Amino acid sequence: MNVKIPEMMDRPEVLLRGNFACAGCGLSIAYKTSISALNRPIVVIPACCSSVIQSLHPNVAYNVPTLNIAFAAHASAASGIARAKKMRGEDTTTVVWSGDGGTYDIGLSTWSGAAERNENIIHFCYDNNFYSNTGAQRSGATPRGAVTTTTPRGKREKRKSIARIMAAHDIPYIATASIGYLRDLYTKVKKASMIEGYRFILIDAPCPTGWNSDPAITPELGELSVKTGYFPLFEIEEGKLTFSKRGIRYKDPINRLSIEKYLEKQGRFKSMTSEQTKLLTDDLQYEWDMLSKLE
Amino acid sequence: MCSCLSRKEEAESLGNDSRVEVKEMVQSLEKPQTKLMTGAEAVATAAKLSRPQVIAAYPITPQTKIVETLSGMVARGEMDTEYINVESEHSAMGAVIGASLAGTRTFTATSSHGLLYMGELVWWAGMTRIPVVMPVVNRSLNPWNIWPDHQDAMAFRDAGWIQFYAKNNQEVLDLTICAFKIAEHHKIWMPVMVCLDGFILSHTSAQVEIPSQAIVDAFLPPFEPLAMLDPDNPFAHGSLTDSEGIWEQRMSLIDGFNNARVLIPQILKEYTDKIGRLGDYLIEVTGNIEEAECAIMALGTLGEEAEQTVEFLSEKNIKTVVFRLRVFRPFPRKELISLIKRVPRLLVIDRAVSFGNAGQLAIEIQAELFAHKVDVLFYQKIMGLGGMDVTYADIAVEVENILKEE
Repeated sequence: MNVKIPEMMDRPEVLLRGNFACAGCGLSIAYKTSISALNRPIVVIPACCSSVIQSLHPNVAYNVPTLNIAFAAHASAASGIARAKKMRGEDTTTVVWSGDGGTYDIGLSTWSGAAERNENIIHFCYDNNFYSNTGAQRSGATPRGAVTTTTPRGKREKRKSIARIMAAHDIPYIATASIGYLRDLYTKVKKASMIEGYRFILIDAPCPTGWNSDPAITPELGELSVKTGYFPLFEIEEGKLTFSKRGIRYKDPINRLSIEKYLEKQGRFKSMTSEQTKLLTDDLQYEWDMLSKLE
Repeated sequence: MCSCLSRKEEAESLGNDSRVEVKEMVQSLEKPQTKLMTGAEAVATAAKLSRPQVIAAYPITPQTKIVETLSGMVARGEMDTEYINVESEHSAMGAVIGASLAGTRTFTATSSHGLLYMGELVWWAGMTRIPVVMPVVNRSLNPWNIWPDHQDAMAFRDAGWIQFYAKNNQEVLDLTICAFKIAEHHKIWMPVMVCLDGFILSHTSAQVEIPSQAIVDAFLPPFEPLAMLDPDNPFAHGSLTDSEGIWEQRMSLIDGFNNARVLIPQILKEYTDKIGRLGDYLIEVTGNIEEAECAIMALGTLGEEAEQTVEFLSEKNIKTVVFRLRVFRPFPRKELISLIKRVPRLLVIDRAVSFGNAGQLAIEIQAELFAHKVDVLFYQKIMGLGGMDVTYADIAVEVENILKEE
């Protein structure tokens, strides 16, 4: 599937001006690109930065129907919407738009149930590696070594592989994408929208406020996460993994940029010891190896 | 002779008189049927007659039979309903909130720990006014115990839900159907809990009159959403709200309850006129109030048990009366005060405790007595926690003790 640039230029404005997003917000870019690719979306948002950036009631910066719901209730509420719209015979696309807290951690059981039932939902997880909404605490998605307000000396554990957990549910479509490669993201969303059942898209979404990085380089960080092998790009369909054209060359460590190029641009990795960097590099290679087994 | 004659042919072969009988038989299908059924089956039957479009539920003893019966009805095609087999009570309420806002009539049911686990979203449904109907089969809380008390539902008396407490299986069925009409009334528009005591009602069979589908349809029109998630008219539900916005929302919820206070009796009356039995009262009075030396107040099946106490004590020449609150939220304070003013003594029995204080019903009634300067001798008793059996004789002993003490 190939999406042409003019098609992307022509998409509807789903995130309006006056929203509360920080400068250089990665999730805003992910939201605009993803939601604008969908037919008549209804978006469910649990507690996360997206529940805040929409502005204060009664103003709303989202130009699509939005249900804000409790942290661990995104996929259950979306299940209700999808079934209700089916019952009413309305043509809509039900979406879960969650951060990594809602997907990796507190909301894991609700999406696992919905995925097992294969509810007709597209679940997006914009992954900024921590709880950004509450001011930068560790999450299951935080990489080893990263400083957060609850891991002041750097996280001691490796990052959870949510895509592989999701893959164990044998849902029809899984993809990863980065805001450094918007055409790739847009194409994957379009592809997901043509499939029925539970679909999952994990988006690497830098957060300059929490990562202590320059807001101007957010897209660049999105590219670097792919080029350094930090964030592999792939799709899983019918149990088979395919590394994406944009990222497949970084499967071979020789082609990757040095991980330091990614880490040095972010304050959260400033105090990393060389030992921690080595452990992080091992974690990343382990993930590539595990993913390769699904090819 | 062929045994597969149609009813009509059979009637004709038997002559004119039988034809009249057959006509009556056919009509009788439109009339109410009486069946022996458990409280759980009464809930499921009421739900079926109310045509919910989306049901999401998670099984828990003693609510299980409700979800099993309903999923069977859906699987057999007897109900045009999307049934979501969720993985927890938290998700059950999440799903019905989503489904309700997507424009469908919704239903769920739970009990005890299920209600507590659902808790966050019970409040969400209450505060954001989701018109879902949820029977709660009352069951004690931990340590594990499956027997009835009201601790589970009482933990949610402040959550913005209308709460009914039923006394028998017939009232369970009637109130569940009414609950949809009440929840979905545009001047109420809030969730409704119909509480029924675990096992005493849920697993005990009793005679229940079931109204016809046609007559329920005439009483309960299809779901009409006040606001709906719709791509043609985008809006955000439950978004970040400042203090003034929350204040406004809470005041509107208080107004909603005030509306409910007025509208519930009207809806109960409409049900009674169209379908029968129920009565439009918020508090049921059993016994002779003018002669009563002591009034007994209780919720649910304890209230019905107390009705037996009235009869039992009258044989000993002790005159009592029962005030059984059928609705606990909104609290029927006007009706309550006008009744209590007419008796010299009042015994309030609670099947739950607000630990550190007293039974919830007793606390709330005392507040009304003080506010209205009602002169009555007030007594309270906590009974039946964890399913401890409470008989009419046990209640009679309490009344006799009160009269003796004086």
